Amino acid sequence: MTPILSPIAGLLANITPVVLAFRPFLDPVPVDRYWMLMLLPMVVAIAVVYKTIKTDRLEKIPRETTVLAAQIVAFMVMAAAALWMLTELV
Amino acid sequence: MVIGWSGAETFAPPDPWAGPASLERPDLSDSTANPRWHIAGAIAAWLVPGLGHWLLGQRKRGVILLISIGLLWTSGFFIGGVGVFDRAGHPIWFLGQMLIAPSIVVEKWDRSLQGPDAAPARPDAAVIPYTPSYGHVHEQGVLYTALAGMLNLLAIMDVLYQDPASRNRHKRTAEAPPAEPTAAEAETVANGGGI
Repeated sequence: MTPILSPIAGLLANITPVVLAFRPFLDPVPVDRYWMLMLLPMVVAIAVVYKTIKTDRLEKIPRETTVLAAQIVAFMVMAAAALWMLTELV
Repeated sequence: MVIGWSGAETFAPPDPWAGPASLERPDLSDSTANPRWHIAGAIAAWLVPGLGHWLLGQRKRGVILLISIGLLWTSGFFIGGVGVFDRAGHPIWFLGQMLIAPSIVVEKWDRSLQGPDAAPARPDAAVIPYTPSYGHVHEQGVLYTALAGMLNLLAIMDVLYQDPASRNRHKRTAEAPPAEPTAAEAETVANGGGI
Protein backbone atom coordinates (compact mmCIF):
# COMPACT_ATOMS: atom_id res chain seq x y z
CA MET A 1 0.00 0.00 0.00
CA THR A 2 1.31 3.41 -0.88
CA PRO A 3 2.31 5.71 1.96
CA ILE A 4 -0.41 8.14 0.95
CA LEU A 5 -3.24 5.63 1.36
CA SER A 6 -2.11 3.95 4.54
CA PRO A 7 -3.51 6.66 6.91
CA ILE A 8 -6.83 6.49 5.11
CA ALA A 9 -6.89 2.72 5.38
CA GLY A 10 -6.17 2.99 9.08
CA LEU A 11 -8.99 5.47 9.53
CA LEU A 12 -11.43 3.25 7.66
CA ALA A 13 -10.38 0.28 9.74
CA ASN A 14 -11.37 2.19 12.85
CA ILE A 15 -14.77 3.41 11.69
CA THR A 16 -15.85 0.59 9.41
CA PRO A 17 -17.48 -1.62 12.05
CA VAL A 18 -19.71 1.24 13.21
CA VAL A 19 -20.54 2.85 9.90
CA LEU A 20 -21.14 -0.13 7.69
CA ALA A 21 -22.57 -2.71 10.05
CA PHE A 22 -25.58 -1.36 11.85
CA ARG A 23 -26.65 -3.87 14.44
CA PRO A 24 -30.21 -3.41 15.68
CA PHE A 25 -30.52 -3.04 19.46
CA LEU A 26 -26.74 -2.78 19.78
CA ASP A 27 -26.11 0.45 17.91
CA PRO A 28 -28.26 3.54 18.44
CA VAL A 29 -30.35 5.07 15.67
CA PRO A 30 -29.30 8.64 14.78
CA VAL A 31 -32.50 10.54 15.48
CA ASP A 32 -30.92 13.55 17.17
CA ARG A 33 -32.41 16.00 14.70
CA TYR A 34 -35.93 14.64 15.10
CA TRP A 35 -36.08 14.30 18.86
CA MET A 36 -39.03 16.65 19.17
CA LEU A 37 -41.05 14.66 16.64
CA MET A 38 -40.31 11.56 18.68
CA LEU A 39 -42.55 12.98 21.41
CA LEU A 40 -45.64 12.37 19.31
CA PRO A 41 -45.53 8.54 19.45
CA MET A 42 -45.18 8.80 23.20
CA VAL A 43 -48.26 10.99 23.43
CA VAL A 44 -50.22 8.54 21.31
CA ALA A 45 -49.05 5.62 23.44
CA ILE A 46 -50.07 7.38 26.64
CA ALA A 47 -53.51 8.15 25.22
CA VAL A 48 -54.04 4.62 23.89
CA VAL A 49 -53.05 2.86 27.10
CA TYR A 50 -54.98 5.22 29.36
CA LYS A 51 -58.15 5.00 27.33
CA THR A 52 -57.80 1.24 26.90
CA ILE A 53 -57.81 0.86 30.66
CA LYS A 54 -60.45 3.45 31.47
CA THR A 55 -62.97 3.02 28.67
CA ASP A 56 -65.75 0.49 29.15
CA ARG A 57 -66.57 0.09 25.49
CA LEU A 58 -63.66 -0.74 23.22
CA GLU A 59 -65.30 0.75 20.14
CA LYS A 60 -64.96 4.19 21.74
CA ILE A 61 -61.19 3.90 22.10
CA PRO A 62 -60.13 5.38 18.70
CA ARG A 63 -62.18 8.53 19.11
CA GLU A 64 -61.34 9.08 22.77
CA THR A 65 -57.67 8.36 22.12
CA THR A 66 -57.57 10.92 19.34
CA VAL A 67 -59.20 13.55 21.52
CA LEU A 68 -56.88 12.89 24.46
CA ALA A 69 -53.76 12.91 22.28
CA ALA A 70 -54.82 16.18 20.69
CA GLN A 71 -55.46 17.68 24.13
CA ILE A 72 -52.02 16.63 25.37
CA VAL A 73 -50.28 18.08 22.33
CA ALA A 74 -52.30 21.30 22.57
CA PHE A 75 -51.42 21.78 26.22
CA MET A 76 -47.76 20.99 25.53
CA VAL A 77 -47.70 23.69 22.86
CA MET A 78 -49.43 26.14 25.18
CA ALA A 79 -47.00 25.38 27.99
CA ALA A 80 -44.05 25.80 25.62
CA ALA A 81 -45.41 29.11 24.39
CA ALA A 82 -45.96 30.33 27.94
CA LEU A 83 -42.46 29.34 28.97
CA TRP A 84 -41.00 30.95 25.87
CA MET A 85 -42.81 34.19 26.67
CA LEU A 86 -41.63 33.97 30.25
CA THR A 87 -38.00 33.58 29.26
CA GLU A 88 -37.87 35.86 26.24
CA LEU A 89 -40.29 38.67 26.94
CA VAL A 90 -40.31 39.09 30.70
CA MET B 1 -82.95 0.10 47.21
CA VAL B 2 -80.96 -2.23 45.08
CA ILE B 3 -82.50 -2.97 41.71
CA GLY B 4 -81.07 -5.39 39.27
CA TRP B 5 -78.13 -7.65 39.91
CA SER B 6 -78.22 -9.42 43.16
CA GLY B 7 -74.57 -10.21 43.40
CA ALA B 8 -71.34 -10.74 41.60
CA GLU B 9 -71.64 -14.49 41.84
CA THR B 10 -74.05 -14.50 38.93
CA PHE B 11 -72.08 -11.86 37.08
CA ALA B 12 -68.46 -12.94 37.50
CA PRO B 13 -67.78 -16.60 36.80
CA PRO B 14 -65.16 -18.39 38.86
CA ASP B 15 -61.80 -17.10 37.74
CA PRO B 16 -58.91 -19.59 37.66
CA TRP B 17 -56.42 -16.71 37.55
CA ALA B 18 -57.75 -14.95 40.59
CA GLY B 19 -55.71 -14.90 43.76
CA PRO B 20 -56.40 -17.12 46.71
CA ALA B 21 -59.75 -16.74 48.39
CA SER B 22 -58.19 -15.25 51.50
CA LEU B 23 -57.00 -12.26 49.47
CA GLU B 24 -60.48 -11.38 48.26
CA ARG B 25 -61.85 -8.25 49.77
CA PRO B 26 -64.72 -9.09 52.08
CA ASP B 27 -68.11 -7.82 51.04
CA LEU B 28 -68.62 -4.99 53.50
CA SER B 29 -71.15 -2.78 51.75
CA ASP B 30 -73.70 -4.48 49.58
CA SER B 31 -74.02 -7.49 47.37
CA THR B 32 -73.30 -5.68 44.09
CA ALA B 33 -69.66 -4.99 44.90
CA ASN B 34 -67.28 -7.90 44.68
CA PRO B 35 -63.83 -6.60 43.82
CA ARG B 36 -61.33 -9.29 43.09
CA TRP B 37 -57.61 -9.45 43.61
CA HIS B 38 -55.79 -11.04 40.68
CA ILE B 39 -52.26 -11.69 41.88
CA ALA B 40 -51.33 -14.16 39.16
CA GLY B 41 -52.81 -11.89 36.50
CA ALA B 42 -50.76 -8.96 37.76
CA ILE B 43 -47.57 -11.01 37.63
CA ALA B 44 -48.45 -12.11 34.10
CA ALA B 45 -49.02 -8.46 33.14
CA TRP B 46 -45.58 -7.62 34.52
CA LEU B 47 -43.98 -10.40 32.50
CA VAL B 48 -45.77 -9.55 29.25
CA PRO B 49 -47.81 -6.35 28.89
CA GLY B 50 -51.47 -7.14 28.25
CA LEU B 51 -51.20 -10.77 29.29
CA GLY B 52 -53.04 -10.08 32.54
CA HIS B 53 -56.06 -8.70 30.75
CA TRP B 54 -55.91 -11.59 28.29
CA LEU B 55 -56.00 -14.12 31.10
CA LEU B 56 -58.92 -12.32 32.74
CA GLY B 57 -60.91 -12.77 29.54
CA GLN B 58 -60.52 -9.22 28.25
CA ARG B 59 -58.62 -10.35 25.20
CA LYS B 60 -59.09 -7.37 22.90
CA ARG B 61 -58.03 -5.04 25.69
CA GLY B 62 -54.99 -7.21 26.31
CA VAL B 63 -53.99 -7.21 22.66
CA ILE B 64 -54.27 -3.42 22.47
CA LEU B 65 -52.11 -3.07 25.58
CA LEU B 66 -49.58 -5.57 24.26
CA ILE B 67 -49.23 -3.74 20.96
CA SER B 68 -49.11 -0.21 22.38
CA ILE B 69 -46.84 -0.83 25.38
CA GLY B 70 -44.72 -3.41 23.58
CA LEU B 71 -44.23 -1.15 20.58
CA LEU B 72 -43.22 1.77 22.81
CA TRP B 73 -40.73 -0.35 24.75
CA THR B 74 -39.28 -1.94 21.62
CA SER B 75 -38.99 1.45 19.93
CA GLY B 76 -36.99 2.85 22.84
CA PHE B 77 -34.79 -0.23 22.87
CA PHE B 78 -34.27 0.08 19.12
CA ILE B 79 -33.56 3.83 19.16
CA GLY B 80 -31.08 3.90 22.02
CA GLY B 81 -29.69 0.40 21.84
CA VAL B 82 -28.95 -1.89 24.71
CA GLY B 83 -27.16 0.92 26.55
CA VAL B 84 -30.40 2.58 27.60
CA PHE B 85 -30.90 -0.09 30.26
CA ASP B 86 -28.25 1.05 32.70
CA ARG B 87 -29.10 0.41 36.32
CA ALA B 88 -25.84 1.89 37.57
CA GLY B 89 -25.92 4.94 35.33
CA HIS B 90 -29.48 6.07 35.96
CA PRO B 91 -31.08 3.97 38.69
CA ILE B 92 -34.23 6.10 38.99
CA TRP B 93 -35.08 5.66 35.34
CA PHE B 94 -34.36 1.97 35.63
CA LEU B 95 -37.06 1.75 38.30
CA GLY B 96 -39.52 2.76 35.61
CA GLN B 97 -37.98 0.47 33.03
CA MET B 98 -38.09 -2.59 35.27
CA LEU B 99 -41.89 -2.36 35.48
CA ILE B 100 -41.68 -4.49 32.34
CA ALA B 101 -39.88 -7.71 33.18
CA PRO B 102 -37.88 -8.06 29.93
CA SER B 103 -36.04 -4.86 30.84
CA ILE B 104 -34.28 -6.77 33.60
CA VAL B 105 -33.14 -9.42 31.16
CA VAL B 106 -31.86 -6.79 28.73
CA GLU B 107 -30.05 -5.00 31.56
CA LYS B 108 -28.30 -8.26 32.44
CA TRP B 109 -27.30 -8.58 28.81
CA ASP B 110 -26.00 -5.01 28.83
CA ARG B 111 -23.87 -5.72 31.88
CA SER B 112 -22.55 -8.91 30.35
CA LEU B 113 -21.45 -6.92 27.31
CA GLN B 114 -19.59 -4.26 29.25
CA GLY B 115 -18.79 -5.92 32.55
CA PRO B 116 -15.64 -7.65 33.71
CA ASP B 117 -16.97 -10.97 32.43
CA ALA B 118 -17.16 -9.64 28.91
CA ALA B 119 -14.57 -10.73 26.42
CA PRO B 120 -11.73 -8.21 26.33
CA ALA B 121 -11.82 -6.15 23.16
CA ARG B 122 -8.58 -6.31 21.27
CA PRO B 123 -7.30 -3.18 19.59
CA ASP B 124 -7.66 -4.86 16.23
CA ALA B 125 -11.04 -6.37 16.97
CA ALA B 126 -13.37 -6.15 14.01
CA VAL B 127 -16.51 -6.01 16.16
CA ILE B 128 -17.05 -3.95 19.28
CA PRO B 129 -19.64 -5.20 21.80
CA TYR B 130 -22.07 -2.32 21.27
CA THR B 131 -22.15 1.38 20.64
CA PRO B 132 -23.35 3.47 23.57
CA SER B 133 -25.83 6.21 22.79
CA TYR B 134 -25.49 9.82 23.85
CA GLY B 135 -27.50 13.00 23.91
CA HIS B 136 -31.03 13.11 22.60
CA VAL B 137 -30.85 9.56 21.26
CA HIS B 138 -30.03 8.20 24.70
CA GLU B 139 -32.70 10.40 26.29
CA GLN B 140 -35.34 9.21 23.87
CA GLY B 141 -34.45 5.58 24.42
CA VAL B 142 -34.56 5.91 28.19
CA LEU B 143 -37.76 7.93 28.06
CA TYR B 144 -39.55 5.50 25.76
CA THR B 145 -38.64 2.43 27.80
CA ALA B 146 -39.32 4.04 31.19
CA LEU B 147 -42.64 5.42 29.98
CA ALA B 148 -43.59 1.98 28.67
CA GLY B 149 -42.85 0.58 32.12
CA MET B 150 -44.97 3.17 33.88
CA LEU B 151 -47.84 2.63 31.47
CA ASN B 152 -47.53 -1.07 32.17
CA LEU B 153 -47.86 -0.23 35.86
CA LEU B 154 -51.29 1.22 35.08
CA ALA B 155 -52.22 -2.02 33.34
CA ILE B 156 -50.87 -4.08 36.26
CA MET B 157 -52.90 -2.08 38.75
CA ASP B 158 -55.98 -2.44 36.59
CA VAL B 159 -55.54 -6.21 36.60
CA LEU B 160 -54.52 -6.50 40.24
CA TYR B 161 -57.68 -5.01 41.69
CA GLN B 162 -60.63 -5.22 39.38
CA ASP B 163 -64.20 -4.59 40.29
CA PRO B 164 -66.45 -6.34 37.77
CA ALA B 165 -69.39 -4.17 38.71
CA SER B 166 -67.42 -1.03 37.95
CA ARG B 167 -65.81 -2.38 34.78
CA ASN B 168 -69.11 -3.28 33.14
CA ARG B 169 -71.41 -0.73 34.68
CA HIS B 170 -72.01 1.07 31.41
CA LYS B 171 -72.52 -2.11 29.46
CA ARG B 172 -74.90 -3.55 31.99
CA THR B 173 -77.03 -0.44 32.26
CA ALA B 174 -77.29 -0.36 28.51
CA GLU B 175 -78.23 -3.99 28.20
CA ALA B 176 -80.36 -4.58 31.26
CA PRO B 177 -84.13 -4.21 30.86
CA PRO B 178 -85.89 -1.91 33.32
CA ALA B 179 -86.65 -3.78 36.49
CA GLU B 180 -90.25 -4.54 37.27
CA PRO B 181 -91.33 -3.22 40.67
CA THR B 182 -92.18 -5.85 43.17
CA ALA B 183 -95.64 -6.14 44.61
CA ALA B 184 -94.54 -4.58 47.88
CA GLU B 185 -92.92 -1.64 46.08
CA ALA B 186 -96.01 -1.10 43.92
CA GLU B 187 -98.19 -1.12 47.02
CA THR B 188 -95.88 1.38 48.72
CA VAL B 189 -96.01 3.73 45.74
CA ALA B 190 -99.79 3.35 45.49
CA ASN B 191 -100.11 4.36 49.12
CA GLY B 192 -98.07 7.52 48.47
CA GLY B 193 -94.86 6.30 50.07
CA GLY B 194 -91.36 6.66 48.70
CA ILE B 195 -88.96 3.93 47.89
